[in-house]
Amino acid sequence: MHSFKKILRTTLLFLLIIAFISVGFMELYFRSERDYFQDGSERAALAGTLDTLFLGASHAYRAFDPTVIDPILGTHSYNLSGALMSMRSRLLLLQEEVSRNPVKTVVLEVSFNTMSRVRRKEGIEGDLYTMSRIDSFSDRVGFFFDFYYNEWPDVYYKFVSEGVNVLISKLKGQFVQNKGDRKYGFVPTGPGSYEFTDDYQSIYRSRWNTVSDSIDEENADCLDQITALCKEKDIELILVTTPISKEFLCSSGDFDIPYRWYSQYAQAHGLRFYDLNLYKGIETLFPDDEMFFDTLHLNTEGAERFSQLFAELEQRMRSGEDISDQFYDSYEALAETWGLQ
Amino acid sequence: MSILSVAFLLFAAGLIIVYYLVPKKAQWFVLLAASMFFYCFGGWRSVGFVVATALVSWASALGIQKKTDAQKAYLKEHKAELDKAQKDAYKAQMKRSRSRLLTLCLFFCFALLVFFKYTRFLLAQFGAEQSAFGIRADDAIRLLLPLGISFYTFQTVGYVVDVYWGKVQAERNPLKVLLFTSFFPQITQGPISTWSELSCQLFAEHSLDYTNYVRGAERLIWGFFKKMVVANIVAGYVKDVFANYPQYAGLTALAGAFCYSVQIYADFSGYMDIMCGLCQMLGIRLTENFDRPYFSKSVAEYWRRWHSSLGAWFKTYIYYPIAVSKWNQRLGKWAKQRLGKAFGDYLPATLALVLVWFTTGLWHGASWAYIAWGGVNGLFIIVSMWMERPFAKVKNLLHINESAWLWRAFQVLRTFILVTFIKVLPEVGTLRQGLGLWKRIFTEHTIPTSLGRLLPFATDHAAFFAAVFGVLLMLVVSLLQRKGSVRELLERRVPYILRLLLFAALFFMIVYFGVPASGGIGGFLYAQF
Repeated sequence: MHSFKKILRTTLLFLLIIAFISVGFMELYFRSERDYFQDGSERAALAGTLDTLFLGASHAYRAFDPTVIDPILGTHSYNLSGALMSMRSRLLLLQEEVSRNPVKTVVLEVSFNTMSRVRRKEGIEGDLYTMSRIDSFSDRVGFFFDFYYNEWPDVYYKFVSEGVNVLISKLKGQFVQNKGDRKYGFVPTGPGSYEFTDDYQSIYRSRWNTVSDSIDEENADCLDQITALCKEKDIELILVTTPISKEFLCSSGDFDIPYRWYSQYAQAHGLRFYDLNLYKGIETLFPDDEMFFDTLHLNTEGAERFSQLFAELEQRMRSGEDISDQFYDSYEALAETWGLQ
Repeated sequence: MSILSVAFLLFAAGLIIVYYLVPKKAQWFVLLAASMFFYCFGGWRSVGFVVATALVSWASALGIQKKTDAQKAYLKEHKAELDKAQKDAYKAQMKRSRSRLLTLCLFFCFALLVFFKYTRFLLAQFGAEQSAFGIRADDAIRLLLPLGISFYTFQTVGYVVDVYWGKVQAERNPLKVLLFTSFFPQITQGPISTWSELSCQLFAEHSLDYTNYVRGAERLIWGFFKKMVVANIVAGYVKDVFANYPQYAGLTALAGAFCYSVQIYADFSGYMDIMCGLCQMLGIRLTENFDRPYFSKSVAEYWRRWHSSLGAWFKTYIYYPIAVSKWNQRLGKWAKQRLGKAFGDYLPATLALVLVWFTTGLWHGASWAYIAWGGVNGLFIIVSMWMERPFAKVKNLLHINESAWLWRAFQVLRTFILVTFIKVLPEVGTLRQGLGLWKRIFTEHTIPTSLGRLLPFATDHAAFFAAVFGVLLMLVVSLLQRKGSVRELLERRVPYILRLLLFAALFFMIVYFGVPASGGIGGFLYAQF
C-alpha cells in the first residue's frame, strides 16, 4: 500500500508537470497569434459591435469581404469562416460571438459537400484552425476534449510543437506575426496559378465528380443547433452557396442533390437560401480564369465582385423585392442553358 | 502494434494496472493474454505459427522429459539385474529415442523459419522458378514473415535442447510454454532468453514496488528518447548517404557510416530500454542485451557486449557443441601432431567459429551481403585468435602497457571503426553497394570546406543539434554506467523534483524532435494559402 501511494504520487506529479508545461507551450502559441487565421484578439476587440457574421469553410473566407458589404448594407460584419471548418466548429464560434455581440444576421455558407463531409474521415486540420482561434482558455480545453480520443496525441503534438517554435523564435528575436492582408476575417487570395480549361462539354460528358447524397448526422445536428440558436436570439439566418468555377460545375450532374436538400431545409425552417451558382449571368460575372484562384475558391477580385453582388441582392430582398426570378430553378436548368449534354 | 504509438502506451498502462490488480498467481496469465493481444496486431496468421511452434516445443520437451524420467526410473528399478553393457545399450536406445524427438522438433521449428525467411533467397540461388511445393520465387516475396519468428524459434529451440541436455525440467503446462515463446516484449527484437533465465521471472509472483516502477518508467522514457530523438533523426541522414554515396565526398560517406553505427545502437538499445523498462515496472527482469558495446577493445569482445543474448545462444547451441564434438577434437589432435600446437589449439575453434558466423550472418538476413557481413566478423575474430600469441610478442617487444588508458582508448576507437565498417556492408543495399560505399570512403579524397558540405544531409539544424545532444548524452550515460546504474546514481544525487523535471525535459524533446522524425504530422497544410 505504501508503494502504491508513492507510485500514485510520483505518477500524478509527473503528469502534472507535463500538463503544466504543455499548457504553457500551447498558450504561448495561442496567445502569440502568429498565424494568419488566429484572430482571437481582433474579435475580442470588436466585441459588442458586430451585427452580422459570415460562417463557412474556405469558400466563404475567400468570398465574403466585410469591407465591401458593410458600406452597402450599413452593417458591422465579420467573416468567421475558416479552412475546412466543420459544422461543429461553426456552431462553437457562433456561440462565442453571439454571446458578446448584438448579432442580427448570420450568413451560413453551405456548399455541395458541407453536409456530407464526415469530420472523422477528414481529419483534424480544420478543427486545429478553429482551436487556434478560440479566445477563451476554458473553451479551448473543452474543444480539445471534443476531438476524438485517438486524435488527442496529434492535437497535443501540434500545439506543443507550435508553442516551442514560438518560444524559440522569440528567444532568437525572430518572432514574426503572419497576419497577412486579413480584413475582418476575410482573407484576400492572389490570382492563383491554376490553368482553367474551356472544354466544358468534355468535362460534362465525363462527369468525374460524384456529389454525395448522404447527410452526416453530426453536421445535421449542428446545423439544427445553429438554427435553434438563431431563432432563440432572434437572429436572421441566411444560407448561401458561394460561386464555384464553371469547370467544377461541369464536373458533376449531382449538384441538384445538395441544392434541393438546402432548399427544403430552408423552407422547413423559414430561412432564406441563395445559391449564387444559379444566379443568372453567373458565367459572365465570374469567368473562371479572371475571378477564381482555383476551381473552388474565388480570388480577391472575385470576392469583391461576389461581396458586392451578395450585398445588392440582400439590399433588394430587404426592400421587399422578389428576386427569385434572378435564379435558375436547378443545376439541370443551368446545364441546359450552357448547352451541356 | 507499433511501439512508438499512443496505442502501445495505453496498452502498457492497462497491462500494468490489470497485472497488479489480479491475484498474483494469475499474473503470468495476464502476460500471456497481453502477449496474444499484442501478437494479434501482427496478423492472426502469425498467431497460428507462434502457437504451433510453442505446442510442438512443449510436446517435444515433455516427450524428451518423459523418456529421461523413464530411463532413470528403469535403471533405478533394475539396478541390480542389469550389467554395464545392458545399461549402456538401454541408455543408447533411450538417447536415440530422445534424439528423434529433438530432431523432429528442430526440423519443424527451423523448417518454418527457413520457409518464411529463406525460400526466396534459396530459390534465387538455384535459379529455380518453382519449388517442389509449388512456390515460386515471386510468391516467396508475398510470404509475410511471421512477427518475431527468428527470435522465438531460437528461444524455443534453446528450451527444447536444454531439456534434452537435462539442464532444465520440461514444463507441463502448455500455456506457460506459449508465454515463454510469445512474451511480447521480446517477440520483435529479443532478447533471446533461456528457459532458466526467463521462466523464474515470468511465473514468479510480483508485488507492486516503488523502486521497480520508477526505475522502469525512467528507463522506458530513456529508451523512447534514444529511439525517437537519436535513432530516428539520424536514420534520415543514413538513408540519404546510403542512397546517394556515389555523389558524396569520401568523408561524407564516412560520416554516414558512423551515423549508421549511432542509429543502430540508439535504435536497438532504445527498444531494449523501452521493453526492459516496461518489464521492470511489472517486476520482471529481462536478459540484458547490451553492455556498452562501443567501449569494446576487440571485435570478439564487441560481440559479447552487443546483442549478447544472440551471441550467447550461438555460443551455447552451436559453438560449444561443435567445438567439443568428438570428430572436432580428433581433428584437433591430428592437427597438433601433423601441423603443430597452434593448429591443434585453434583448428577446432576455428571450424566452430566459421559455422557460427555463417549462421549468424544468415540469421540476420537472407542475402549474400549478410553472409559476407558474418564472414568479415568471423574473419576478424578468427584472425585475432590466431594472431594472439604473435601480437603478445610484438607488444612485449614494443613495451606496450596494456592497462594504459591511451592504449585502451586506441583499442576502443579501432574496434569502433572496424565494427562500423563491417556494419554498413549489408545495410547499403546489395553486397556490391556495400563494397561501393567502402570504396567511396577510401578513394574519394575531397575535403569538404564547411560543416554544411561535410554533412549535407543535416538540413534541419535544430534536429541535427538535438541528435548531437542525444549522442553526447548517451556517451555520458555510457561512461557513468562503468561505475553502476545511472538511475541509482540519479536517485542518490539528484533531488526528487529535479529528477521529475529531468525526465519531463526528455519527454518534451521526444515530443518536439522525436515525433516528426518518427513520421508524425507535419506543418499546417492549409497555412500556405
